[in-house]
Amino acid sequence: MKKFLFLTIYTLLTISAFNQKYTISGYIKDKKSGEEIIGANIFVKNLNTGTTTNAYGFYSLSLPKGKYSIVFSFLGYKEEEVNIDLSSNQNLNISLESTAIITTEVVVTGEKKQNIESSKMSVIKLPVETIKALPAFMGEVDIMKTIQLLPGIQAAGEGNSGFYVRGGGPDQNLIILDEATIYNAAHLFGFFSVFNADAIKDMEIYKGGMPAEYGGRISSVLDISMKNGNMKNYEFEGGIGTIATRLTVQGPIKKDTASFLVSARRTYLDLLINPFISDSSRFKGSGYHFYDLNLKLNYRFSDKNRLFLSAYYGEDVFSFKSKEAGFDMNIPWGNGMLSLRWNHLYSSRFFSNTTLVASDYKFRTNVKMADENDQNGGFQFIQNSGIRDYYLKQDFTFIPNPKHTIKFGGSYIFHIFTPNSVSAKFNDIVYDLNTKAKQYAHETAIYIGDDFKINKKITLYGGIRAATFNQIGPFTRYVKDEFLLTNIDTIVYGKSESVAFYWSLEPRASMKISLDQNSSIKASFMQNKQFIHLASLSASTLPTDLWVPCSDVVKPQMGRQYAVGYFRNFFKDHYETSVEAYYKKLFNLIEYADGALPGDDVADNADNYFIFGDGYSYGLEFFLKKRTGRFTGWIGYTWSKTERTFPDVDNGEPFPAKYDRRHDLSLTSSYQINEKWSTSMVFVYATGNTTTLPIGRYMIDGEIINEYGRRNSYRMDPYHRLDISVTYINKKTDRWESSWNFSVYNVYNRKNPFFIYFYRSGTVTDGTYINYAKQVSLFPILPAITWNFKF
Amino acid sequence: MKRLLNFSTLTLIISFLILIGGCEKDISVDLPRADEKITVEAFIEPDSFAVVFITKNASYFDPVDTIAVANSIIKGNQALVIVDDGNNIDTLIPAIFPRWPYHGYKGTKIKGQENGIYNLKVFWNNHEYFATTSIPKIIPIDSIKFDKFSFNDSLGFFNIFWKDPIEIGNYYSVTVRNHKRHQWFYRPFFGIHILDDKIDNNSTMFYGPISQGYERNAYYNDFMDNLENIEFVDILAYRIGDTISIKLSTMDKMSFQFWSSWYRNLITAGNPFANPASVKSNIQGDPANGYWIGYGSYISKIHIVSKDSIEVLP
Repeated sequence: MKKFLFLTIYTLLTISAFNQKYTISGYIKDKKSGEEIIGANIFVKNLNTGTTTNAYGFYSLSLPKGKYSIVFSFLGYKEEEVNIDLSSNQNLNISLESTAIITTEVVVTGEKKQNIESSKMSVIKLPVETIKALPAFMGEVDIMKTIQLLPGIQAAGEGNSGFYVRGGGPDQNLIILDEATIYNAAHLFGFFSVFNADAIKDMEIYKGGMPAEYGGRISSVLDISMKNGNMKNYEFEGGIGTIATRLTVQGPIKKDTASFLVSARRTYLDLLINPFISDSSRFKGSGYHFYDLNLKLNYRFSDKNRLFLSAYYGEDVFSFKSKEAGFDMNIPWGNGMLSLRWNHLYSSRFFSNTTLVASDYKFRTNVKMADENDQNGGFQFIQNSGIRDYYLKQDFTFIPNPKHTIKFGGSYIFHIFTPNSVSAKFNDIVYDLNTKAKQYAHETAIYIGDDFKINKKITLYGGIRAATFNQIGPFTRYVKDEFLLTNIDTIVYGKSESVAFYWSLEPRASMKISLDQNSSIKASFMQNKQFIHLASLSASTLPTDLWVPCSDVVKPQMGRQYAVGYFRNFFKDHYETSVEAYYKKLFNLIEYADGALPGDDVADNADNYFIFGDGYSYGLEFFLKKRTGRFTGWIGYTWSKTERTFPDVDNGEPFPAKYDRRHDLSLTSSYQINEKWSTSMVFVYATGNTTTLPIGRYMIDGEIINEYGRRNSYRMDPYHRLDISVTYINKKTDRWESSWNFSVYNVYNRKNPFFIYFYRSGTVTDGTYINYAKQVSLFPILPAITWNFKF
Repeated sequence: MKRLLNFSTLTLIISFLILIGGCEKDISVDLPRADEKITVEAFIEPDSFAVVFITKNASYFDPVDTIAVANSIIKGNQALVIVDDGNNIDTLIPAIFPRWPYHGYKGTKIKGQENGIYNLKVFWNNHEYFATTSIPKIIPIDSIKFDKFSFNDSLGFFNIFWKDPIEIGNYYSVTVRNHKRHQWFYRPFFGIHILDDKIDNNSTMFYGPISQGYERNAYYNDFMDNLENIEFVDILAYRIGDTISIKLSTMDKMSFQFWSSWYRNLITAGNPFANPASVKSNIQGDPANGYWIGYGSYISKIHIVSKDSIEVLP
C-alpha cells in the first residue's frame, strides 16, 4: 500500500513538474467578520474552469502562464472579479461582502453550478442561514430537523433521536463537528439537536458517494463546521425564547490573527411547567433541562500555519425527587469533544491538516433511596454506559493542476466502550457485579482519492480506503449455551491481547458527464465497513442505546451502494433540480434477540443477546429547489423500500425495517415580504412507521400472554405536519440588529402517532375482559416567540 | 433490580414527555386474525400424577364473554391425553381442579419420580401434539425465616434457603399455598418466581421475600379495581395463625427457558420501547403454546404460631 501511495504521488508530482504552471492560492473570507467561507467558487472566465474552497476556506488553482479574469463568488455575497497576470506563483486572499437580505434577482454566473459540475453526487450543503430561515420548533433553530427535510433523509418521527439515510440505521451516520465524532446528536429524544445554530457556520451531508477521506460509517456523513470567530470586531448574538436562551460572543483576540467564539444555550422548560404540576401528580419533583457550550479558538501564525481549537460539551439532565419516599434520581447524558487542528501549507498546492480529537458520550443513572432512618446512606444505584474516542488524523490535499485534486491521509482511533456498568450499595454493602469491564479497540485507516477532470464533459472520482479494527483485552467473553441461559465457558483476554481483528478495503467511485451547460448525469458506487454498532433495544432510538464494538461474535457491518442521478438547472440557475435513484445492500446488521431486556448484559456480554442479519433498500429521490430571490425553498420527495432479513426473525422471511417508508415528502419555503417582514413554512408528509403488534392472546398461569404478528407488519397512521413562522426585524443597522420570530408548530394540530399501546380491563375468567388500543401523540399545536439580537 | 429500574426510569422520562405536550386517544386497530392454536399447561411432580390443562387462544380483539370463555376450554372427551414413562402408558382422565380453567386431565397410573423421563401426547380435533420432559433431582429447603415488619410485627414475609449443587445449571421455581385461602400453589405476588444459579453457583441460595401467592385473575379483581380501598401489605403479607406450604421446584433448562420467555412477554407487553418477546414453547407437533414440565418439587409446610415462633409441619 505504501509503495502504491508513493508511486502515485511521485508520478503526479513529476507530471506537474513538466508542465510549466503557476499556482494561485489563498483564502476566501467574509469581509466583515474575517470568517473563512467554505465552498466558495473560484471561476476562471477565459478557461471556463474553476474550483471551490475547502473546509478551511482555502483554494488552489494551477494555471499556465497568462492573463486571467477570475471571479470569486458565494451565494449571499457580492461577486469579486480580479484580473491577474500570472507569471509566478501567487497568493491571493479575497474578502467577499455579504449582500443585503433582499437580493434583487441577481444574474447568476456560470460558475455557480456545483450541483451540476461536481463529480460528487448525493451530497447536499446547507449554509446555516438557510436553516435559520425555516420555522423553528419552539423557537429553536435546528440543523438536524432541517436535514431531515431533504430527500433520502428521513426523520424517525417525534420522540426519536435518530435519522435514517437511504434505508440505513441511525448508527450508520457519521456526525462530525469540526472533525470530532458526535455519538448522540440529540437532546430530549430528538426534539432538539446538540448543534446550537448560532455557533455553526456550515453543514454538508453525504447520502452516498462518500469520498475516501470519510469512513467508519456505512450510510452517510454529516460534516458540520463551527464558526471560527470574528477576526475584526466583537459580536454578540443571542435569543430569548419560549423554552431556551442562547448567547454567543465572538471577537478578535488579536485582530486578523486570532479570534474566539463562545456559545451557550440552556432550556428552562422545567422551570416553566413545574408550577403547573399538581402536588399529587407522580411527576411532582421531576425536572428536565439541557444545555450546550461551544468554544472555538483560532490562531493564524501565518498564511501557511493555522491552529484551531474547538470544544463542545452538552448534557441532558432528567431528575426526579420525592422527599416523602426518600427517592432521588438523576439521569444525565451527553457528549463532549475537544478537537485541535493544525492547517499547514507545504506549498500553494499542498495543503495539510492534522487533527487531534477526544470525543465522549455517556449515559448515567444515579438513584438514591434513603429515608430519615437510614443512617448509612440507604440504597444507591449507579449505572454507566458510553463511548470515548481518542483520535489522530492526518489529511493532505495535493492539487497538481486544475484537472486533479488528490486527497490522501490516514487516521488512528483508540475506542473505549463502557457497555453497561452497574454498581449498587445498600448501606455498607457494596454489590459489585463485575461490570466495570470496558472494551478497547484500535481503528486505523489510510486512504487516497483523486477528483480528475478528464475533460470539460467528464469528471471522475476514484478513491480507496483501507481500514483495520482490532478489539483488544482486557476482556472477558462469557460463552453461553444455546439458550443463552448458562455460561458454559469463560475466556479471559489479557491486556492488549487481540480479541478480534477485522480489515476492510473500500472502493469509492463517482462520475459526472455533462450533457450541456445546464445538465449532467452522475453515477456513484461505494462500499464500506463499519466496526461499531449501536444496539437499540426498542423501536425508538434512545439515549440508553449502547455503542458496541465488533468482537469475536459481532462482525463489521458492510454497506454497498449504487446510485445514478440526473441534475439540471433552470432559468439561469435560479432553479436546481435532481432525480437520484439508489440501491443499497447492507450486511451483518445487529438487533437484540426477541424479548431482550436492558440489563441482560450485566455480568455478561451484550453481544451474546444479538441476532444478525442483512438488509436492502432502494429508492427514488426528487429534489426541486429555488435558490435565489425573495421566494426560496425546496420540495423533496422520496419513494423507497427498505427490508431486513434475519434468520432468527419470522423464520428468515424479509420484514420491513422500522423506518421503511414508501412516501416521504417535504416542502419548505421562505418569502421575504419586505425589509421588515419575512415568512416561512415547512410541510412534511411521511408514510406511517412500522411496528409489531400482538394479533392473538392466550392464558398461562392466569396471565394473558400476547401472541405477536410478523415483525413490523403493522403500519401506524401517516405522519404529517405544517409549521409556519413570521420574522419581524424591528431594527437593523450596521451595529445593532434585533428581530422577533413568531412560529407555530403543527398548525392544524395533527395527532401524529408516537406509539400504540393496549389497555385492558376486567378479567378473562369471568368474561369481562376488554382490550382497547390507544395511540399516543406527542406535540399538539405549539406556538412560540423568540427575540433574537445581534450587535 | 437493574432490569426493572432501567425500564421504569425510561418509562418515567417518556411519561414526562407525554405530560408536557402529548395526548392519547382511542383508536381502532385492524389486526390480522391469529391462527387457532391450543395452549397446553402440563406438569408432573414426584409422587403425583400428571396434570394437564388445555385451552384455546383467541384473536387479540375477540370479544370475551362467558360463552367465549367456556368455549376456550378443552375438556372432557374433547381431547385424548396420554403420558408415558417409556414402559407404562397412562391415559389421563377428565377432572375438575380448583384453579382456572377448572377443567383438565389427570393421570391415574404413572406417578412422577426423581430422574424420570416422561412423554406427553395430546390429540385434539385431528391435531397431534407431543413433548418430553424429565424430573430433575429434588433439592430440599434448608431453612425458612419469617421476616416480621418493623411497623407491624404480626405480619411478615418468608425467606427460604437451600444449598445449590456443585455443578452449574440448576433452575428453580418457588410457589406457595396459604392453606386458609388456597387449594393450589401460586407464584408469590412479588418478584419473579424462577431463578438460576448463574451468579450463586455452589453456594447457599435464598429466595425472598415470599409474599402471598395469587391467582392472577383474582388479583385483578382484588387489586386493580380496588386500589383505593385496600391495604396492600395487609393482603400480601402472612399473619399469625396462617399455615403455609412453600414449594421449591427444580426444573430442566427448557422449562426455565419457557418461564423466562414467559416473563419477558409479560414485562415487554405493551411497552413500546422493548422488542416484543414470543414465549418459547416445548410443545411439538402441530402449532401450540405452552409447556410440559417435570418439577423436582420439595414442599415445606409451616404454621406461624406466634410472632417469634414458626412450626414446621410434617
